[in-house]
Amino acid sequence: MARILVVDDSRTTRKILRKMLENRGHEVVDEAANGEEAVAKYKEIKPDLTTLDITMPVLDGIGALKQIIDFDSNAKVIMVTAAGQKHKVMEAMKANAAEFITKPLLEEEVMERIDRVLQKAND
Amino acid sequence: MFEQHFANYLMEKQKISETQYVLVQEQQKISRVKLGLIAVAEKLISNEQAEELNLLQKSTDRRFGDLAIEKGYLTPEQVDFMLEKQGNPYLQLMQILTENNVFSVDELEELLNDYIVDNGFQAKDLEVLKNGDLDSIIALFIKTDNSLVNDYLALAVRNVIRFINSRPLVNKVQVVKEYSAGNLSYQRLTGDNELLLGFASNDNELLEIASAFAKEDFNQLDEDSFDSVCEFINCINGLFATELSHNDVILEIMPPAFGPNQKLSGPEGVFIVPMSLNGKQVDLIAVVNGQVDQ
Repeated sequence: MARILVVDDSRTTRKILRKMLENRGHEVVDEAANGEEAVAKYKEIKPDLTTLDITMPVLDGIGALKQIIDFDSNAKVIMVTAAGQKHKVMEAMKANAAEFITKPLLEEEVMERIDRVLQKAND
Repeated sequence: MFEQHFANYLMEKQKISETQYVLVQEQQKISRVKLGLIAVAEKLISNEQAEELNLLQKSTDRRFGDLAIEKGYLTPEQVDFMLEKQGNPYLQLMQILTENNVFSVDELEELLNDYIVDNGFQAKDLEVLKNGDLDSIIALFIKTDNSLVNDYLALAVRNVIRFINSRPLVNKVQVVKEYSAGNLSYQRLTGDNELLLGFASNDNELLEIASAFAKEDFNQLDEDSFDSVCEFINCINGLFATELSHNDVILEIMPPAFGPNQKLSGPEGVFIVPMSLNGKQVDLIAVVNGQVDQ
């Protein structure tokens, strides 16, 4: 079971992700609706894993990822994005994102990626 | 999609009663089965392969059958067999109306010819409408002078069918100079093209999309339900941006927006695809270089 911070400006996506994660026994320790909030909450909570939307107001997911990695180089961050943002995903992977998931979210895909990142962290 | 439009036409022309229309709807609902289900039930592919194809379909906006052939899971002949098994929706409508003694086959053919003329289709379109190929039928309903808009709206309609309502009543695209929305959710794509995609309704009909996409019963248009519609638009825009990226067209997806009483306009006008989802009237909207005002 992991402590997970869910970041997305969409309440719908946050709700869907929370449900999927809790169904599999993970704990959603908090949620954030933009990159700035995400960075602040990450520093406060230090979750085991963070799901981070890319397209967000105030500070986008890439900006938030860079600040999170600056703060904690071992941070496990999974980027969540609509399809079609390949260039953004590449940028995120270069900035040390652990994985990415495309919307619409399918439970099997989400859990497979999360398990993979958590497994790697425990190896 | 065409069979819905034709059945609605018959009702509007008072060729069938409202009760008969509802009966047709119910019978058609029962008879349509998804291709993936047929393939697994026929033991042509495994559950895992079906899931893999569903995943691929999610991020590519391609048809299940085409992906299955490409992956080597099915042959073109097997896909044809499955399509046959799934049934042509127009033929199903014919069968329902004739078996219930509403019309004879000849009467239906005559009504179909009237439909073609009244809806501005051409005689050569008849075969396309009858053969049941969804992409070709959508192309007949969404025909504007702007091919990019045609592709954009066609992709959106396909995703309405995939995620929101498998049997929407879709009308032909219209272009207006300005559009006033009672309620509007939209999102812009910027970069090599400046596009906007939205869904609008006069009152709270957008709830039909919100509830179906989030799989949650919303009963008022508030931040949560608007957000669900925005996320659906976000997924459509993602798929469209992916398609264009294959031609080196780079688009950035902007954060979505929503609200009541919005006005839309654009130099080429506002492209509208009116549709009815479970009887709720919703407009799908696309604008090039669009402007949104309150």
